[in-house]
Amino acid sequence: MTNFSQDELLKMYQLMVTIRRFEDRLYQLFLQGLVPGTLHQYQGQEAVAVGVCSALQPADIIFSTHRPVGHGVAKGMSLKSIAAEIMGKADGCAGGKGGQMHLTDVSVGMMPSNAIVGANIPIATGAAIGFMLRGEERVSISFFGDGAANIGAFHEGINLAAVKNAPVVFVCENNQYAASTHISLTMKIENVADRAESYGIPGVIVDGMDVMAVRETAEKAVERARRGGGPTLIEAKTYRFMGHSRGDPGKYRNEEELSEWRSRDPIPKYRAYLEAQGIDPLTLASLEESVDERIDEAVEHALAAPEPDASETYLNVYAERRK
Amino acid sequence: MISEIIIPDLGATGGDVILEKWLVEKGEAVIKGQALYVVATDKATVEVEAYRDGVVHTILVQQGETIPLGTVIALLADSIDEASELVEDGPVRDTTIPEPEIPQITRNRSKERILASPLARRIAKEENLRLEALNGSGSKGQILKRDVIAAITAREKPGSPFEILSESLSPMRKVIAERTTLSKSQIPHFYTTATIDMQAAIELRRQALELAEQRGLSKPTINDLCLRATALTLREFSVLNSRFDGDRISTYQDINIGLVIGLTEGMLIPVIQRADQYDLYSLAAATQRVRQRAEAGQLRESDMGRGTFTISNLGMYEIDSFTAVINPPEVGILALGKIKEQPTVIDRMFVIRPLMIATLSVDHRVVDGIVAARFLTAIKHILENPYRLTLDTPSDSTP
Repeated sequence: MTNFSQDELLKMYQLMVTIRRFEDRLYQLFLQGLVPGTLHQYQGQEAVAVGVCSALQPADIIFSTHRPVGHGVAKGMSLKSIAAEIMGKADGCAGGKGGQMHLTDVSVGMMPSNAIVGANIPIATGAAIGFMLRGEERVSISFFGDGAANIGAFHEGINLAAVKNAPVVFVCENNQYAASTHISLTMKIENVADRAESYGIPGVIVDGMDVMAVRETAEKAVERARRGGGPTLIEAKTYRFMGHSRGDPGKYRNEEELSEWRSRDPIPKYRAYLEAQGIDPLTLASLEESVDERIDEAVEHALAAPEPDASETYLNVYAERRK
Repeated sequence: MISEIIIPDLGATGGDVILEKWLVEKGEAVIKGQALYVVATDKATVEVEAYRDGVVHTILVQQGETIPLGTVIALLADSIDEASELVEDGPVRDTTIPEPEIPQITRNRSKERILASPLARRIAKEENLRLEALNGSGSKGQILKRDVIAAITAREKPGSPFEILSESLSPMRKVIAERTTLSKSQIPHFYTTATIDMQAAIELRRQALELAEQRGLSKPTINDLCLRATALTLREFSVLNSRFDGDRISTYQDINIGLVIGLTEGMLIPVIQRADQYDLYSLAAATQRVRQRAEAGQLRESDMGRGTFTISNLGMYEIDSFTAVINPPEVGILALGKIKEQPTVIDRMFVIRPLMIATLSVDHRVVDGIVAARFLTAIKHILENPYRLTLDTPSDSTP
């Protein structure tokens, strides 16, 4: 029925469950007062990060946002380095200086996440043009939210990518709310993807709660970009189950809307799909267990990890002067 | 197991938050994810959820209280009967320190639960500080991060090679810091200096003192003479009696001169309102009054503010000259040094005269060099020919 091997299918499930449970655990740590910075959580949107990143090669790179945990996990970052970073520890991926909004591991193609809304769109375009100029068959991904679609950089970045035929895929995770503002209050059109036409590139709408749909859509866009076909704007309709950030009670959303989206939770949905493919529920259960173990390990590691040394406050903060 | 319910770092930009409402009561069973309490930060009102299942064992902070982030506000247990001394190991692995074994010198001290935020516990452990030795500043004497940091700081102070005394700014020092920073960062200062022969002014003052003595008037000081000379000159140079407002220059009708009064803890600039309207004796009385009030810390609202120009005089010290910082939003300040007997040349002869160096600072956005030079020259001219100080009458108002 599907073109994907069982291993590939399970890998996607494992990543989605990892993101969900890891984020839940981070929230718990936050409530315990162990997270010194902020949290912008990804629960609900897992199918987007996992669907897109599964369509990538290791050499492809992604640019994330202020909500980067899902993207980082999906692209292969270690949970330890994320957990330690979020707790401000020395062995966090940014030495504890970046916190939750600044996750990175260039070795797996997770470029430093950029918390400025929409700011990564031109940067991802620039990286893609770089690949093109160097003759590398690599693709760059820009993840952003619906709020970013109304930022000037959205227009500038996508337009430039379109005219340069840059190998970049723009993934708008439309979770309906720019912080607390519903998209209907900021856009007169219904779909962000409709804007692609004005740049002369394909715009595709996909169900962001369906990881297989996201993956198939992303694969087409990524392969098109890799072959020199230029950029695509994918709009994944999705929902975040948590507030915008810590301290956001999310009261601007009503119960009805919340439960409607919760009933479309991408993880049970994908689980049902896998079982329908004949995958043994026991396999899934043991996979979930091993996810929990890895999360426990990462959190324990982060809790025990050393604080950054005050003497290294400015280390890696400013660039070295070029000789 | 007993766990602490704390106020997490909710992204409030202010310091403390208000525990607005408890949504559970003592003894109530709660499940993970259930809202426990409502807290109001300066950004939002937020419900905070339980991170584990349990029973509300103890409520430590009542609703309505204002508390710092990180405060432990309740204890969550497996059952209501769970004794709280069982929690010595703390709820969070690797973050709580086991209570040290204390010999039973104090009565049952080790049985008593010490309330501390997890972060405070962790830092204390890393720094080898005993929680018992710390004073908690949180609600119910809870030990917070700031208490541990204070203890660390206190510990590091003695013997430190950089032993320093650090104290927070007094309100006066704060204002001085703000205003001088504002002035020096926004106003392009420009300076002119002139040496003024004060012989005639000293002679005039001597005569004025005699008259004051006879008539029971206030005795003018040299500073009063300089003040009056400046006030009269400002009548003719209204551009120095103005303020710079970005795209316009506003000139004041009144000439209100601020007088810098040095105090041990800082300085004040009381203002002589309409300083050009006084004769020398009433001016002397006015400056004496504000000086006394400034030194006694009894300046009135009417003594402060609305200044249009300032004079700073360090003539009582061994200071030849100095440049003063403009008092915004004014555009000029005159700095006077000590009058000294100096050799100078008059009519091609060396003579000894009492000389004073006056330095004018102006805002170059408003006042150019030539205007500043003419203004300072005019003051010099009046002080060297001081009959003007007595000829001008209050009715000689601005043309």
